Amino acid sequence: MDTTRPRPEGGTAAPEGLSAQGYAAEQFDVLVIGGGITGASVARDLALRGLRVALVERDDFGSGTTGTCMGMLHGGLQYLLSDPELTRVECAESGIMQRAAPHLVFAIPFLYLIEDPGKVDAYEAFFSYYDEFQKTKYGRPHVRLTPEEALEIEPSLRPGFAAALTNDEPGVDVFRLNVLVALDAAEHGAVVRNHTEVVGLLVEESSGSGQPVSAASGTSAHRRVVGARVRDTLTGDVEELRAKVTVNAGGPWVPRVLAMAGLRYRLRPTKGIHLILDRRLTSAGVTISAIDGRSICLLPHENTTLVGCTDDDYFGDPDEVRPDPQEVEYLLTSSETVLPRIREARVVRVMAGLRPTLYQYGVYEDKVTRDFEVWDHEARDGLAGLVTVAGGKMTIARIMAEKTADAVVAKLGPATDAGPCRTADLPLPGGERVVGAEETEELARRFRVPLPAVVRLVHRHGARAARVLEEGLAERGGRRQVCACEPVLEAEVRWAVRHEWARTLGDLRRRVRLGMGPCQGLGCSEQAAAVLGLELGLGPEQVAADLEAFRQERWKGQRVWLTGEQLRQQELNQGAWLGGGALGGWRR
Amino acid sequence: MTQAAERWQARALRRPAGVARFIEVYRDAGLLPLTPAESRLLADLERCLGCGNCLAVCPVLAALSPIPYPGPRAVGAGLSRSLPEYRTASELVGYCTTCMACEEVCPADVPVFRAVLMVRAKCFEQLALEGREPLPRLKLLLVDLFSQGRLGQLARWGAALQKLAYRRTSTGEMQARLPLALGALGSRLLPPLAARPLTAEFPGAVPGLDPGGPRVAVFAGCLDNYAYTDTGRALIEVLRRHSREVVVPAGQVCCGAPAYYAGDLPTAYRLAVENARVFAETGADFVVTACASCGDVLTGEYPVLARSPADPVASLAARARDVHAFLAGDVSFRPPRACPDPGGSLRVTLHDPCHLARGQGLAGEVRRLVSGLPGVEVEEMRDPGACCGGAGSYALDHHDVAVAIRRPKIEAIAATGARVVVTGCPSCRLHIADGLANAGLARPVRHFVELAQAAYDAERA
Amino acid sequence: MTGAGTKGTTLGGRVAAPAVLPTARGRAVRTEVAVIGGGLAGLVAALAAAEARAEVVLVRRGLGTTAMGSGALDFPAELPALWISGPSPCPGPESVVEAAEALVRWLGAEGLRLEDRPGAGLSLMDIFGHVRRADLAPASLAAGRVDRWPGAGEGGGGRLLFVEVEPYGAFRAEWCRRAAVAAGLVRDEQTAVAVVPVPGLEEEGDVPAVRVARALEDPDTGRVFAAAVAGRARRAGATAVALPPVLGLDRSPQVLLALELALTEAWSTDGGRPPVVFELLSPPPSVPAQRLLRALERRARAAGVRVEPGRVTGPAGGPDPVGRTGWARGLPVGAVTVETHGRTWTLAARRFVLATGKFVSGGLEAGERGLREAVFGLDVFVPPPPGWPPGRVPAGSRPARDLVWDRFTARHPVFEAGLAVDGRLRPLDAEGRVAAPDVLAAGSVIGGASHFADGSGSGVAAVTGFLAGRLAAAEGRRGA
Repeated sequence: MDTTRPRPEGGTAAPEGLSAQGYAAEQFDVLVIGGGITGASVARDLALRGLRVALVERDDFGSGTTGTCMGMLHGGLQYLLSDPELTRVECAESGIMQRAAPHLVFAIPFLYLIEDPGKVDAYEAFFSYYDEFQKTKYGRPHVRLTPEEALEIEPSLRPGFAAALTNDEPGVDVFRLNVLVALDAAEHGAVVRNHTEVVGLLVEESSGSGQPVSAASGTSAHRRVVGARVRDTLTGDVEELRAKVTVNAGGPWVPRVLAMAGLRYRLRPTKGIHLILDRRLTSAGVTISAIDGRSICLLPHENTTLVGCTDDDYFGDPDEVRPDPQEVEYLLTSSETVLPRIREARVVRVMAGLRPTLYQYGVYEDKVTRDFEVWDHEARDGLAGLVTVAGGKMTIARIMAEKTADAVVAKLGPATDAGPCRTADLPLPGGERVVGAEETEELARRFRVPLPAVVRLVHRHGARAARVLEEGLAERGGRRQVCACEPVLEAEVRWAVRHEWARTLGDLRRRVRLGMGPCQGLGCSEQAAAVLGLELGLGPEQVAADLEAFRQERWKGQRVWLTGEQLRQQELNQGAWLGGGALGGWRR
Repeated sequence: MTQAAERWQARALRRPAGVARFIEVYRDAGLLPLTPAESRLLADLERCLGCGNCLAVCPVLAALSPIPYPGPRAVGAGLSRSLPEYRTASELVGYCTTCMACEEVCPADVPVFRAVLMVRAKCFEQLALEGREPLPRLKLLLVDLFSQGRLGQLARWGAALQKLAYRRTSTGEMQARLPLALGALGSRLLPPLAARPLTAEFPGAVPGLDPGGPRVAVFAGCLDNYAYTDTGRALIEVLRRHSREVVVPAGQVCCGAPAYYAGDLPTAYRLAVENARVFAETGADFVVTACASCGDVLTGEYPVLARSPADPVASLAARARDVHAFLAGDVSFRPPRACPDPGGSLRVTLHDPCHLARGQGLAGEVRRLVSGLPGVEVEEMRDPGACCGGAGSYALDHHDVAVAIRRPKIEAIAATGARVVVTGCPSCRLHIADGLANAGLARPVRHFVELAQAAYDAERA
Repeated sequence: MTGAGTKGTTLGGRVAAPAVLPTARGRAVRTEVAVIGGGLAGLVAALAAAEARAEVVLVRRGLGTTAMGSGALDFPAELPALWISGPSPCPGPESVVEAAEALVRWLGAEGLRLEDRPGAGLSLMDIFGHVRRADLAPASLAAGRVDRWPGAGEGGGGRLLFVEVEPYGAFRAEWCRRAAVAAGLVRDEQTAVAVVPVPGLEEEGDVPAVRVARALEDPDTGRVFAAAVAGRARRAGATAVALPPVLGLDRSPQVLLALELALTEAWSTDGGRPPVVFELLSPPPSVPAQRLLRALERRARAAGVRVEPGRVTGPAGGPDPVGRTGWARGLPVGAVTVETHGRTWTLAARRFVLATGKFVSGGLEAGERGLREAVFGLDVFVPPPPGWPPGRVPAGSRPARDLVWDRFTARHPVFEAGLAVDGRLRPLDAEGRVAAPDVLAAGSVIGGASHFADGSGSGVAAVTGFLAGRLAAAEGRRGA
């Protein structure tokens, strides 16, 4: 998203803790490029070790791969027989994440339908074995169900199976998880920026002695990355950030960053889409064998239902990923076999994203390794000061960050005063303790806000909910409901702008789920834009451009599957946006 | 688990072992199974566009009462999106009167008010499973009063006591003799408790006047059985003329409306099964009631409660009728030939109970029957279908709101100049009579069958 | 006694026993003109038919798409080129004038004065600071036309006060003020902002507009509120006061009057003219839109139109009162099945006006097998693909996603979809033949224009509704 805006007049354009003057004079220990779950985790790990860190994200935290996944902290069930150690590690990691942010996590029971009556016992043994591993991820024990019982739990299943076994996966709000990781880094001294694009790496030539020498001298020289030139995409300001070590955590954009240093690397990105259906239609998730034999799933997730995902090689521009009607049809045809009424459901959005999987030739997409690698470019390419972390997946992001941070600390040398890795032990902001039902009800009473809104706020902010309400309600208007579908209070929107780097409507969507409900922004985007404008001192034209970009982004995920209710909603949304007096319209 | 908690748990739905275990394992996540009807309902709720038509007709939002009710749209489009969070809405959804006006103006056929019922049922189950009181205290008392058959006892003892503290008004309700002594409750009218319920008054079969007609059983309903027995008697009188026999089975119990609408589905089903058994034994062709709420539950909600098409509850539902539907559609109504009023002419106005007009589609029939009575002139009030605010026990546990909703209704009645208000629901009758009396505009509020009976009696004279 | 059948429910008037009414047992209702759809097109058709002395029954679910709008109407002086073929051209300028005059008259009778005329092109601001175009708007909205704002034109004095009404949360007065200044509509020093609470709702955090509107209809609440607004206006020296559209629902004249009185009193001491009060537009759902449609529906009932809630599910199959077994293309429909609160009944009529709208109101449906017309399954047409000659083509099985552009703000062909009709508004099939001789179409169900993108929706609805109502009455009246 390359939207340039003029510098706004008045108000705080830059988030708290940052100086608009830039950091040209400062020398960071580490510059991390990429604010997805990986990059943010790297920044957090290093900041917790006491290093001076800068983190830059081109768009917003979670606007890349992280935000397009299906939001679960898996426990590696699929490797249990082939690689139990991996399962153990993933369960432990899931447990660590859950302890760090318990408020963001919710249980998603899965129903495994077993067709063959002869195999039921074997499957049950498998799940009993898994129950042992699950303990580290706070998994609940499996339950065996007869077909009648399974149909009572989920009446729309297609009968014909012999038994069902339940298993438990923790679901999580990935956007908030990502933001909280970045926030924790900032709270431990990191300088964190979103909407900040790297436009070039700062590469210095040096001879073996370490003195900078011009390339023309002809000496075979070490090249060294000493930082990056970055540009604020909203204000247009450019500056240089210097660091001893730069980490490339760009996900699908890893090759693009490396290209800035003249290095040619490839990944094998695969595209995955999933459908977001309005409201929870089922009580449990279901694993489905798709038409091509792959495994897909349908699961309740917060107040939506997700169906996904696909897996196809992608050779295009990572900025241009868009879903295809064929892929949607694939998912619907496959899930129809288990849930016959799936086609009646309202597809609110089709989400498309890229997995930045490592390059492998001759392997089927599904089977491409989900492993990760840390590349030290000094050893590989004679380019010092640059480390890349590539591949991987969200469940092991913390481990990826730990390994990357270890590599970075090693590069920084023994003189560096770095502490041990503490990411496994410390909570994320809001995760310091669990807020229970009674405390939530008390908050609703104390602040006189509706309980449904408080419950969602506690889910997003955990132990900090009280602070959000206190600050947000200190000024007039904090109780206004900006979003009715979720619901979201203006108090929470203010907090997101002031303390969570929300600078655009898209950022707000990721922070508080604005516009993610069935209305897709009809009721809330204008209101949120007004709040954003008032908070940041933006002018109406800037906000108008943001509104249009936001609505365009929503449209992108909807126009690919426009049936029934969605088309009706679109007629209303378009009318309200564009139309003449009767449904509202622009002055042209 | 304390004894009280166990008691609450026992009120939740009985589930097969595997399902119960599933619920137990995921109890803190608030996950509960959805019935097939609820599943279908969720699909229907998805059609909401957020247009807000429903907000403009909701009587609760129109009432000038400082309550935090967000309106039907919020329930249908927002609060019912995530089952684990239904319980956060339990207080909010308590404000709905189930008048169904929202459904009448929804361009997308969204069963908005059913979302309220679903949220209530799930809240009830979740709280009960947690060992907590599943309903607010007063609501629970009211539900149990009706569902546990204690009304009979209350009426027997209460009838005598009532005569001490209350006097009968000229319009047939009970008014406190010393209102100030009763504080805030003193101004409210009560229905006249009957020392002998209708079922006791008619223990045997009542021979009908039409040997070729059907056999009819009377579903009295709690209010007509234990209080407004005049209505019950009039109903029997009218039915007698159009049947070969009328019976009033003694074992009938509450139709289950208070429990059902509050979300206590297990109790509602238990009552439905009991009623199905009692009325099956009568062998009657039709089960007729003069209470709009009972009629709507019998014809409209018993099919939802029934576990299968073969469930006897479904069979009872198929034979059930409101008396207006019975007279207009199942038999050839023989209108009386005299005016119900001795003066020879009577101006009346009609209030359409929500559960009669919207719930059972019976507005035209009522008008045809009423204006078919000689000398009776119908003066329509403004918005006769607007909810009166009574809504069964709603007038008791949400009294202020119920009064606020009622205000325009009273004004509209007064503007017609009608001498009698005709309505097919005893709950509406009580609430409207109370409103009229408190406004100094008291006049009789009667069911059509009472007018018909008066007219039949006048024939003989 | 045919007249008596429709005069069922009048406001406070005497009612004789109606002839035949919807019953629980599925008996038929017979009438002369049956209008399907209760939006602008349907209500105008019903009123036009009733004025032409036909017996009318109107069946409706919601209140149409206009009810979901802002309450201001887009009514061009010349209609866009709808897919109306036949000897006479698309409804001409006289029809536009006549329909507009009728609409103004009907709403005027309900206390809602519409201002200006087709094609007037008023610029009105909404609560978020966007300027929108309308042609006919109720006076309380039209009074806010930006060409009459303080500072409009050269050397204009005066001050515009934006009043935020607590706890109606959607309107943030300060933001709106900044937008107005940034758009150059008024100078910064000519603006002011005030916050006025609604008595009785102080404890609420956020209240829907409808609830605020109703609260202000209570005389005491309205008086206190008006006095507070007047006080703030006086202090600000306002010559115009902008409020969000919450000034009453069915009794908005009283609410506006209370404001007028309070302002007159506040200005009585120093003389000078009290400020003009107007309501800003709001995006859907809005109170003024509800006002408009509810008023029109009241007018229809007062004119003797029988309004029944219900959904028309299709032509009545099976032996019906009209003696037909099912319906085939080219033959008259005769009767339709209606579902009301779960019960079905039959509506037989001599003429039907199909005013069911496009997708929002359910007149057209988009399935995976393409677009279809929801009631009779009539052929739906869409604009031709790029590069084809202009006109229309059958929608076929093209899904809606093939009829939209990538750009959200583009004019999407799918919203032009609809029926093609002849010069007498009878729907045509793909071969150009009349599909049902007793059915007329009105409103946005007729294709050829995108009601919002072309800024013509209300005009199309009103004009085609008016013509359809008149035609249906002329043909449908017994003994005609």
